[in-house]
Amino acid sequence: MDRMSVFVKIEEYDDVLSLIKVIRKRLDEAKETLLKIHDLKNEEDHQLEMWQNTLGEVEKKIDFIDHSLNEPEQF
Amino acid sequence: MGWLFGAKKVPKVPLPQGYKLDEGALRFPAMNTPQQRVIQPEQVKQAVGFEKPFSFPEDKEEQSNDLPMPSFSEYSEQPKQMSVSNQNKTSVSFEEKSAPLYVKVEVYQQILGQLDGLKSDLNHLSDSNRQLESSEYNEQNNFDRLRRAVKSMHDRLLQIDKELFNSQGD
Repeated sequence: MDRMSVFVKIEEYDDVLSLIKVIRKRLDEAKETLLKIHDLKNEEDHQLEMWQNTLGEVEKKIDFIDHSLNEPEQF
Repeated sequence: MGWLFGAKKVPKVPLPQGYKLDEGALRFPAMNTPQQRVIQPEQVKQAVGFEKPFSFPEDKEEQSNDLPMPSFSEYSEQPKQMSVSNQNKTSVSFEEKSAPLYVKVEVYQQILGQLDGLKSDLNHLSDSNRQLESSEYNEQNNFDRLRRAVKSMHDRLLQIDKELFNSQGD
């Protein structure tokens, strides 16, 4: 004999539906904000890379000045 | 004065005699209408089908998609499909909205499980947010340190430049 199905009565499910609608909207907003943060992070990474390159160039120039002052006969 | 004001001519045709006024003089003659021919408003409503609910083609489509008591026999683990069907339900009429919804106990348990998962996911997200805030604070501190180091380097370079130019001028 098949088991009879038991149902649960949900009284105000339209309120639940409206809440789900609001949550879905917030989820879309969060996705949009996450995309903006990703863009900002990419921009930040780009700036950090530029920092690294510039610091390398500064280090080279400092080395050159240091060597030229310490060992002027080699230049 | 003889032909103009002569004696009054008496008509040869006799004038009609008027009826004597009584209570029934101004009434329509009574007709014996059979009782079966009197159509009461209730009979009209019944004949037209006024008591039956209206069914339009759009309603039929919605009713086919959104029954007030779905069985959810084809319910799957994908919450998106369920939410799509729920969004369709929001467009039904007010009477259908206010009616309670019956779901199977198994589906109800799955919904509760999904809600628990949602809660844990939200807790995980809030932990990540806290860590991001602390790392952002540390990042800001590192940026400040970097800025101070660069300023110190710049000042010392200016000092070296000044001394070198002064020695060149001397």
